[in-house]
Formats: sequence, structure tokens, C-alpha cells
Amino acid sequence: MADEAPVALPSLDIVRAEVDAVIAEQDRRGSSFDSKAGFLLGISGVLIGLASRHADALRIAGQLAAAVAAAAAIGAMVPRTTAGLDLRAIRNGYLTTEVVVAKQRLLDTRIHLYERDEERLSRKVRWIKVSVMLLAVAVALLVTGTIADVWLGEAR
Amino acid sequence: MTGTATQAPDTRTNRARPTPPPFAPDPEIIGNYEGNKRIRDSDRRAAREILRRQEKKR
Repeated sequence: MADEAPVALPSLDIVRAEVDAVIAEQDRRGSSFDSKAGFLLGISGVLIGLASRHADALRIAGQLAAAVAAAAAIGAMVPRTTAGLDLRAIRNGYLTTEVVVAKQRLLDTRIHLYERDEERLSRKVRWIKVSVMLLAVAVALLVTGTIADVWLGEAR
Repeated sequence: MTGTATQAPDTRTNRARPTPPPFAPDPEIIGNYEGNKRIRDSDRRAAREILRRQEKKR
């Protein structure tokens, strides 16, 4: 691992504390996105159930939009974040390594995982946005279907 | 791995300070959280790519 004399890294602990805080915040964001995706999936299910009572073109279209929104919400839940660290490999690889080198390599690896997870979280957010937009379309179609029903009913 | 302590101007304090060692994640310690080997392999590959680029720079 270490093939050169380590450079003094006086602020390594400060940087590490900051990385810890940012990674903890990333974990919270990941959980919050998963909760949002679950909520969107639930709402999609309710809309599909509501639309199934009346079978007209607008409501069927609304139902379809809600079904695709549900698929997008599932898509948001699927990308798992964090490969995590292999504790046994850390033990075997770093137990006899210079402290500063071990701290720096672990820090770099955690930053690398953080950056990879950020890409995955961005994908989650994109799916959530798609799901929200499709749900909005589904609601608009269902409401239009109901208004059209009432309107046509009065016209008859 | 940790680089050499070459001097670079410190833009914040206007004093010379050692350049930090190159960014070097260790692919071997990337784990398999929740048994997801696909993510582990993808993260390991990305880490190896970073190390390869660092090697090329030298």
C-alpha cells in the first residue's frame, strides 16, 4: 500500500470529522428519498384504485399515468447506495500500516464511496421527479374525467 | 502512495505548504453492503481507475 515516506497531514482529523458529518447527512438524505419514493408508490396505488371504479378514456389514461408513476417510484427505491467498507480487509490491510497512511487511505476510500453514492442519489432524485410529474398528470386526468362526467351528466 | 512534500503556494495564508498526497482510494477495502456485489464491483472498478490515472500522472 504505502510505497513512500508519508507526508505530514496535520489537519487530517479535521478533514475526517467533516467527511463523517457530510456522509452522515448523505445517509439521512438517502433514507428520506426512500421514504418519499414509498409515499409516492402508495399514492399511485390509491389513484389506480380510485380510477378503477369508472372506466372511461380519461380515467384509464389517469390510471396508466399512475401505474407508470408507481414504476418510477419503485425505480427510485431500487438503486442501493453504499458499497460500504470490508472490515476484514481493513483489519488485514492496515493494522500494521503507518497511522497517517492508514487514516489517509481510509479517508480517500470513504470520500470515493461518498462520491459514488452521490451519483446514485442523483438517479434516485431523477426517478422521484418523474414519479411526481406522472402523478400530477394522473391527478389532472382523473379530475378532468370527473368534471367531464358531471358536465356530460348535466347536459343529458 | 502518499506523494512527496513539494512546496506549493498557500493561497489562503500566502505561505508555502506541502501539496497533499494524491487521492488514493483503496479498492480492496470496498465492501459488500447488503450483499450487493454489483455495486461493490462497480465502486472497486472506479477506484482502480482513479489509481490508474494517478499512476499515469506521475
